[in-house]
Amino acid sequence: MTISFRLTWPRVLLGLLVFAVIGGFVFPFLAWLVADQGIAATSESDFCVSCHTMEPMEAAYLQDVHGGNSPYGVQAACVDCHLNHANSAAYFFDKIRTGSHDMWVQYMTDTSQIDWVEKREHRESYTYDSGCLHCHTQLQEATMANTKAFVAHKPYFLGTTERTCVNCHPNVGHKDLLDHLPVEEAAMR
Amino acid sequence: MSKRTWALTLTAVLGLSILLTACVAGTVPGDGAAADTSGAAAAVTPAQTDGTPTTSLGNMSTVSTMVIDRGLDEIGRACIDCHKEIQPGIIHDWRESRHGHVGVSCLDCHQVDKNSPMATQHENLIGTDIYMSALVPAATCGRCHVNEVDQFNASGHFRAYRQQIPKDSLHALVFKHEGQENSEFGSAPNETGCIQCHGTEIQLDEENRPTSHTWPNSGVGNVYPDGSTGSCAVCHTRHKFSIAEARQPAACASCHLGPDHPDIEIYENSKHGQIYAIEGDEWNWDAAPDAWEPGDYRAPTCATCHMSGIGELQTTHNVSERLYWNLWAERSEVRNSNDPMSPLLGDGEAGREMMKQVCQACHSELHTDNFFEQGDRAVNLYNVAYYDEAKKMLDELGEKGLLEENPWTDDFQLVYYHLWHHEGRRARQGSLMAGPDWAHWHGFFELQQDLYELEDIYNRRIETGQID
Repeated sequence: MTISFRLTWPRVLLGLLVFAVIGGFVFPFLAWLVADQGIAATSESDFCVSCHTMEPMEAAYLQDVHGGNSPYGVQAACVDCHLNHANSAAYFFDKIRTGSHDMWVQYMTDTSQIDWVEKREHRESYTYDSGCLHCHTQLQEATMANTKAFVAHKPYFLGTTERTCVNCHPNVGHKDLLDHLPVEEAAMR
Repeated sequence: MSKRTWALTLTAVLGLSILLTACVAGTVPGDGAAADTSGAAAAVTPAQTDGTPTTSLGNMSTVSTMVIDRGLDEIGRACIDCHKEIQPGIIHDWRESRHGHVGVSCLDCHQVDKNSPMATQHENLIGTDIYMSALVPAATCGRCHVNEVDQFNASGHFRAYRQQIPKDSLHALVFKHEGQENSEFGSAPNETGCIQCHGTEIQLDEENRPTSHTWPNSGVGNVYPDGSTGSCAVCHTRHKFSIAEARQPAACASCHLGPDHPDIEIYENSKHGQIYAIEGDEWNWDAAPDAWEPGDYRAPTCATCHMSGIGELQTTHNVSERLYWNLWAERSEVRNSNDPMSPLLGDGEAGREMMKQVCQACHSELHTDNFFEQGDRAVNLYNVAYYDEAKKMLDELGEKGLLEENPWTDDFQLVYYHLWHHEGRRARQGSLMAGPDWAHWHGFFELQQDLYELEDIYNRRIETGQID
């Protein structure tokens, strides 16, 4: 017995509909699900510190207000400060860029040679004001109410300075980091 | 009531109350004369009663009763509570300052990170997480006064100390000659002189406190142990940090004076200085930054021309920005560099235009242009008629081995030094800041004498082939 299959217009339309539903909704949904789970799984601080190189940073971070050492029950994650939050594309691009860079360095190079103390001198290159402002959304208004903070942040919000958050708050996020970095590097300071 | 009646009544009331108090307390029952003696004895400190001399002058604080809560946390209040009695001068200054008004506390400037090389702890801070330093570099001020410190970092003041580091002839003068290479005391000329204006690299002892070889000083170009440069408190002195103070010529005068760059003397000699001396105490020194304009003053001060936002000009802490020439170098050249370490820091042409804007807030364009033409002729004359001629002779004598090794015993080199470093600067700076006595009698008159003396020594050495 042969099954005759005739291409009729209703069948074509049905096929297109199934294709459209899979291609337009199911696949994007699955892709989004995978991406979202992937991003979420690699955005926890636990993931970042699974590389032993990050242990000093974690230790200092856990003692800092941003690491949860406060009475408020809030903790910023590594990615909150160390990824560009300007928009989703920038965030995603930066995540891939820094993630693959760190992966390469961790597995393919001798990380004991890294001069972490020196890296602190260009802290603005691996922290993002957009990240700070993503949480501190009311900073501009809040500082208006506090006279000394008002003076301090005015040039920033007026755009008359090129300084970034970490230029004036150099140790934010990692309390007494030098205490945790390898001894010979701390002694260089 | 007459004054006499008042005085009598007051004495009677006072006497009665003392008597009453004494009776109630039961010290000397019923005996007025004895009660007086007891009162007097109680006023004497125990140390004096023992006959042991005491060096304490007692609590002289005018702010000892001050209790301030507003805008301060517990530790911030603790600083004030203690220091108001130990150093009332500091607390008195602070409460009069703008910092005091907006609640900027001791901690906001003196607290440092635990890992800072300057970190120290008082005994009452041990066990806490708070570390302090007596040292407050400009970088700390820059956390709030961002633009001011960035401008400072781009100015000639930034290199006040840094420029001295590579100058071997200067180190030889200060340590070998002035310090006589004395191993114990030889650093004194540097410590009491140079670093008090130029600053130095501040060194710390094992407890992270600054050493007496490097601190205290009022040097604008200090390099701090954390690597930052500059001190704001030189012009805005501690702990008042007053804008009005820095607008006064005296703020600049503690360094810009003397035989080698008599800037305050030139100013006093000028018509600007004359007007300031006569009526400056009546001017408005307190206007907001960039809002200080003619009318607040009737003649400019140093800050007006070199820093203030007059008219459309913006206020700047880059004191090199409005300069055309370098007037302190051996030979004056037009400024053309972006590097704060360069003696030619600045854009001469643009700087001149900015300076003219200040002048023209009070003077006509013709007046302004003609003034600078006069001044520029003076600088050019110095360059070609004095410096170039003297340098030619110096180089030739050097090539022929006719200069002494020690420049400070060699007549030719001594006069040469005075020609550019003293007389030459006086002529140039006197001319461009309108101080005629310094341009002429302390400047060009001395310059021609120097030049003739140099020619005399040069001719003798060339003729005899010897240093006489």
